Amino acid sequence: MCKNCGCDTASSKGAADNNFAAGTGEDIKIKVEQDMLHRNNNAAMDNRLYFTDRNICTINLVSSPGSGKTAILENTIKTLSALLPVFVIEGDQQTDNDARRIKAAGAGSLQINTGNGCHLDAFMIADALTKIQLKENSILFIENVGNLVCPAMFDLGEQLRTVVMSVTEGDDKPLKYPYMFERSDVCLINKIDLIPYLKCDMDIIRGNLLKVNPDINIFEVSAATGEGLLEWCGFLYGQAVTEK
Amino acid sequence: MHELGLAYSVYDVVEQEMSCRRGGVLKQIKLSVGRFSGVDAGFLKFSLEAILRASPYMSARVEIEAVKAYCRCARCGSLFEPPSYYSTCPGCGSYETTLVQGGELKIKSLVIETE
Repeated sequence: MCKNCGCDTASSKGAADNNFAAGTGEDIKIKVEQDMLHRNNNAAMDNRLYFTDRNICTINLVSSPGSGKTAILENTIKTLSALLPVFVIEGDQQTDNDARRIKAAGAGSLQINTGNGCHLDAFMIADALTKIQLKENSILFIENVGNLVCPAMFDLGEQLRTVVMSVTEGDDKPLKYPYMFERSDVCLINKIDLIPYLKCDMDIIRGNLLKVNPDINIFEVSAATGEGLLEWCGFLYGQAVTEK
Repeated sequence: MHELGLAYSVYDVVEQEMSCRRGGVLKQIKLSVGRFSGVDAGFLKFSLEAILRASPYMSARVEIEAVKAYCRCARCGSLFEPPSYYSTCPGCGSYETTLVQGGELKIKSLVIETE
C-alpha cells in the first residue's frame, strides 16, 4: 500500500482507478488542482488552532529591515508583561542578537535562523512551538525576517498581521509594497519623533495606507520616545483578552 | 526569493503524485499564476526547472498559465480589469474593490507518459 495516500499500487484495480494504462506509451493527464501554498496553509491552520485553544494572541510582525520592529517590541514588552505573559519568536537570517534584546527587555524568546531563507513559514513556527512552553492567556509576537515582499505570502497561523513602516521610508511605501500592506490588519508608523527633520507628510502616508487597505488600523508611534505606544499596547491587550 | 520556496512546495506535491504511480515518465507540470498573486511566473518557472534538473524528473517541462485579474466594486457592483493592485473602480471611483480573480497560485495538472 502506498504510504502517502493509501492506494494499492500493487493491484491492477489500483492501476485502473488511477486512470493508468500500463504499457501503452500514451500520455495521461492527471488533474491536481491544488493551491501551491496548500501545505503551508494547512500547517498555519494547525498553528492557529493551537493558539486559539490556549487563548494565545499571536502577532506576526513584518517590515523592511531597520523599520524598528525589535525596538517597538522592547518598549511594548515593558508595558504588556505587567498585564500578560509575553513571548517572542525571532526570525533573522543570522545571529541571535534580537532574541538577546528581547530577553533583556523581560520576555522569553526563541531565535530562528533561516540561513539563506527570506521569510518564516508555518512549518518553522510549528517546529518552534515544540521547543517552547507558551502560557495560556498570553501574547506571542513573531518578529518575521526583515522583508516586505516574501513574508506576505506565508500565513503563520497568526491572529493579527502587523506591518511596521517608519517615516524615513517614504510616503509612498504602501503603494510600492501593496501585497504586504493589503494583507496586514495593523500598521505601525514608527519614528514619528523624526518628523520635524524630514519632508514626510503623515496625511499622505495615511491616505496611501487606506488606498491599499481601507480596513487597516493605524498607530503612529516612536519606539525611541515611547509616544503612541500606550495606545498600541491598549489595542493589543483588548485583542488578547477578547474570547477567540 | 519566495518563488524558490514555492517551487519546492510544487516539487513536493509532484513527488507525492508520482510515488502513487506505477512507473511512467513525468513530461509536463502545468501551473496557473494569477497576475496579482505576488509571484513572478518567470522566477517560479526558473526555480522549478532548476529543482527538476537535479531530480529524477529532469526531462519534465514546466508550463505556466497566466490568469487575468478582475476586481468587483463593493459600492456599485462593477466588474473590471484593474491596471494595478489598488485601482479605483472605473464606474464610481471607489477604492472599495475586491480581487475576484487573479490571485491564484495553483498546480493544475501533470502529464505522464506511460511505459
